[in-house]
Amino acid sequence: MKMNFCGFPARVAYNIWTGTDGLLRDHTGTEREMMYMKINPGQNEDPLERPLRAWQVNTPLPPHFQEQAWRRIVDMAAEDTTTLWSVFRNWCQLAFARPAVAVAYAVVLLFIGSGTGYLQAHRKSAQIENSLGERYVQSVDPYQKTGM
Amino acid sequence: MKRASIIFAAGLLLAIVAYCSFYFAGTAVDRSLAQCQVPELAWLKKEFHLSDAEFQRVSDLHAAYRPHCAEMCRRIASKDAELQALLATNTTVTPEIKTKLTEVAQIRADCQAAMLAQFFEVSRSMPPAEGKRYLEWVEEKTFGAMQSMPSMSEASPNDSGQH
Repeated sequence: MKMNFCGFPARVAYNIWTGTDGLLRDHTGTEREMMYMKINPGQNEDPLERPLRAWQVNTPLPPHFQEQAWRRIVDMAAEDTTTLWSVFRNWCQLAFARPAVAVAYAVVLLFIGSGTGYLQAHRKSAQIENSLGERYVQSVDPYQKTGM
Repeated sequence: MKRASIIFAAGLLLAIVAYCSFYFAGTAVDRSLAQCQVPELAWLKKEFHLSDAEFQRVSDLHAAYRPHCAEMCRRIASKDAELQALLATNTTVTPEIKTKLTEVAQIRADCQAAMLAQFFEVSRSMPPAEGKRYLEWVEEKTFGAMQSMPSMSEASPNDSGQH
């Protein structure tokens, strides 16, 4: 019980508020008779409550206030609808909040990029070498040169 | 959200940079070969691990062979045109067609002999192991291609009854 209310632990204060018969246990568990402290709503009234009730707004609302308010409500509702993009965006937001995930993401993309680049380069090199080999053969074989 | 977007974009950028780096580094040698003045000879040098002196000899042999090869091409084209003209005007195998076929075959034989002589000479200009590999490769590419006609046994069963 960390929170204190008027010097009482929270549980004790709660019992007072709910109006138990005055026999309360303190934080040591000892039953004690305490002053009946059922709160009289009239005595504990918020001092701001009365002026707030009496306060009347005389300033007129800005033009199209209601319409704009409803539009904003509709927009917010539309934003709340689950789309793939919003799911992805939320997922990114949550995932990348953790540094380990962000680093792992970067490392995985680094591997994918370099792996794909390596394989493509290998394929392209083989293609170039093959075409140069064919070119050499065509340069020495008249039948392949003329397509006979 | 801004931080997540930055990380997302940075990851993609990293992948693209990694891809380009590996791709351009991996193809740099072959792209430089393709940019050479005589790319096929540059490729030969790389493929068969020729020294500069060996490459020079091979290049000289190649340069000397080129006019002969061009002459062969001209003779082949000429004889072929003559044969085509005879075939267009005859419906039977005439003595002229037989003579022309013999001439075409003779040119082919001359051409193959000249090619083979060139290959042997080039292979001798290479280190022995590479020369052997070169001969196997070039013979497969030239004579192998000529002899790769389908044999009678490989022909479609439907064809055999029609001849």
